[in-house]
Amino acid sequence: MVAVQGKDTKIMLRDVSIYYSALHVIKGVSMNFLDKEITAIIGPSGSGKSTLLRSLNRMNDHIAGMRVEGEANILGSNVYAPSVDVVALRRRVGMVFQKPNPFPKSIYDNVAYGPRLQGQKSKVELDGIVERSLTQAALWHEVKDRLHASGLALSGGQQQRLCIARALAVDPEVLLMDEPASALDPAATAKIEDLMLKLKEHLAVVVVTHNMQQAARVSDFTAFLLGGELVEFDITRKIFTAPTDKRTDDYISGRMG
Amino acid sequence: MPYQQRLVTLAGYAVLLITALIFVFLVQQSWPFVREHGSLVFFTGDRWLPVSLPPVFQIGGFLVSSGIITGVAIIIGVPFGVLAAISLAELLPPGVSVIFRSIFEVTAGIPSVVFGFLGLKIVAPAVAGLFNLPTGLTGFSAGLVLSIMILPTLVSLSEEALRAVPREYAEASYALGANRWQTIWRVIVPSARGGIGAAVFLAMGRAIGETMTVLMIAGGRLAMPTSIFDPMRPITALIASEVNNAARNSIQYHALFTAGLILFMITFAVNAIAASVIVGKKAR
Amino acid sequence: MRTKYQAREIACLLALFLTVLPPLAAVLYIFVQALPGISFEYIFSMPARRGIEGGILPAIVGTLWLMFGTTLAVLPIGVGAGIYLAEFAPNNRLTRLLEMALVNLAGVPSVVFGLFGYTIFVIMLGFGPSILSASLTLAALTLPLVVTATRQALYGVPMSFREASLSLGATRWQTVSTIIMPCARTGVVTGTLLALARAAGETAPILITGAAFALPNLPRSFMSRFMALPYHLYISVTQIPAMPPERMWATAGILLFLVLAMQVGATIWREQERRKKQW
Repeated sequence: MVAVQGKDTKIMLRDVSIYYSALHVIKGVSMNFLDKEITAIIGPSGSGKSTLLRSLNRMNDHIAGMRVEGEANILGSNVYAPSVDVVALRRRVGMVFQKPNPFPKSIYDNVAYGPRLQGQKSKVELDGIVERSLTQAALWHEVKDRLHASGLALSGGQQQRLCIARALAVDPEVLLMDEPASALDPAATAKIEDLMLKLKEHLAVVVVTHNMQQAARVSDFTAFLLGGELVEFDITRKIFTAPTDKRTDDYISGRMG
Repeated sequence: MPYQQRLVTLAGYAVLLITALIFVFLVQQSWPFVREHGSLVFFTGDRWLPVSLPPVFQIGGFLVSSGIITGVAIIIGVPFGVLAAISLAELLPPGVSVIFRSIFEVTAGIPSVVFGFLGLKIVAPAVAGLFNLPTGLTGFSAGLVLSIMILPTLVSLSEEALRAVPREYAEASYALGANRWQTIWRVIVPSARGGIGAAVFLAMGRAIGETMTVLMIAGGRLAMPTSIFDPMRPITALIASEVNNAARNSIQYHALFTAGLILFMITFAVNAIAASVIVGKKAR
Repeated sequence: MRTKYQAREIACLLALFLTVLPPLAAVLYIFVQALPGISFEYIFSMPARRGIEGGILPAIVGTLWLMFGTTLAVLPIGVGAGIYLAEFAPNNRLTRLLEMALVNLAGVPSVVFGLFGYTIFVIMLGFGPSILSASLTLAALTLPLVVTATRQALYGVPMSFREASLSLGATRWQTVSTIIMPCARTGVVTGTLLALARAAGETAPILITGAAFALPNLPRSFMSRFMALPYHLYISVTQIPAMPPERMWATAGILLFLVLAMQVGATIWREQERRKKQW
């Protein structure tokens, strides 16, 4: 386990296990996610990457028979404590999904959706939030003249950046990204990766990816998950150059699915 | 929980409540009759003399009439319905199927009183002429018109069942050298058996419960039918024709509710069978 | 051998043709027969001499009242229950019971709805034979249609919209009201229109809940008795031997036109929206 000084820990997992009924999907994972760093979670399909990520803002709640053990401490409180306000938690822990999923609303309304939920009605304020979020998501210049066009009229890469802007608009402290570029072409992927590097100046980013080059390019820390077990977690460069565990070595050198 | 969510939850339970209330009121309104006159002969006899002294209430003839008319509708309707569904699901290009499907939707929208009117004006005279009968107002005429009315249910649900058959089955069949018809008839249709069966039961439920058409063209005779070409009165027609004339809370009134309760239970059972076929298919 | 199988396919298509022919011919035949009897006077004047002369304005107006009343009653409960079943109902025994009730309600014969409506609305709640009683009865009859249409429309909205909304800190209700319902609106409205078309053509449920054959006045309130097109047709055909046939055809034609216009309109609208839809 790595210990890094001088950065806040945003998320702290201690022996977290997740079950779907009898299925043991995540097996005793302990790790920290730091502020202003990108943490990548890699692993083959079915290793539990997405389950782990989605447990961080409780997007798994609706699955029948889902059960969590251990402690998932996010922003100072246990996420699965009965008293936790899930809605408030999700405002602080934003999420970007695998497939771009803008609402069938205008670009403006997509970005303003979160702030409006929180009761923001001032047109001036909303205009400011929309411009700032779209700028942060590196989309402002492409769309500033057609903010009232449908979000669905954008290209796939633009749609994903719109979704990032939408997530940023509620000012989250952590951004969870579930294979955010897997549905995009290489040029759009590169833009998303650049964007991630800029985003980490403000918040903690956790990204699930099946693309090891992507993990190596953008992340500061990498966790390798296999069969629900955290095999290795370290500084990215170390994982990709000198992994301690043979299974990690096998996976990153392509000898495993 | 926000109050809006409470409201929709209440609305959900209102559906349950209304269904339960229908049953409860039918039982409650039937009870005075069942208590005094309830016996097996109510189901088996065919004498219905509501205003004689003492009155006689036996619904055997009406039950048999409902059975005959439903049977005619199913026997005529099902082969056409299944073949039509095969055409739509397997033979025609999707663009053409859409047109036919909307025609069936239109059929489903024709009010049953309009079907009854047409049956009276066109089908009944034709049946009388064709089979050389004294009157065309017979169980057969009613069944014939019903067979058209149940087609939308039959065709759309059967088509759905056929389309739900995995394409791999058909491909495996083609790979073995079967042609299109052999594949449809020996692989796809048997695989869709369950869904088609459910369609037949739902259509049957619809036919049993159909009121205006049979009221207008089945002939209305009270006696036990001896042939499908007899005038007859199915149970729905009995209720609709007498309920306005029966004095409230008379024994006849309660007898009609008892008939309604029996009808409710029959359609309930038929629909439950259809639902269990569908659920069984899902579980597989 | 090939020809034998082709013959079977052709037989199949022939069966399809034979199944759509009667209803199409029926619709055309009714409209053709109805034309001579339809006039401005027939549509816009009051009946005279037990409907043998004059017009059927009260029947048309009565049917419109019924549809209005049915909409008011069925919409909140039907859409609410559809939302509950699609978005909130937990996966438990009670919900399965509710689903079963829904399926069975859809299968209850229309004449049984009449008995139910008579007992509860006309007698127990004291609404008497009236537009109110008949509308509520028709609302019960159309309830499963509206619930099912709403539920299907909601199921059609992609899961990813719900996830995105929840991840932005929306509650489940906010997600439903701001994202899901706007997406499903067309499906709900067209489904309701189809249900109303069904209600407009029903006769058995209004037989004993307030329909009358000939009334000298238009309905004044929900408590009035009323004339309605399907009931008028039924009585004209079966009880009034002196009724001129062209008047019956005209009633049938107007009823059919009203019902089919709603149906076809709803269907076309639904298809157009489906084509416009970007998700």
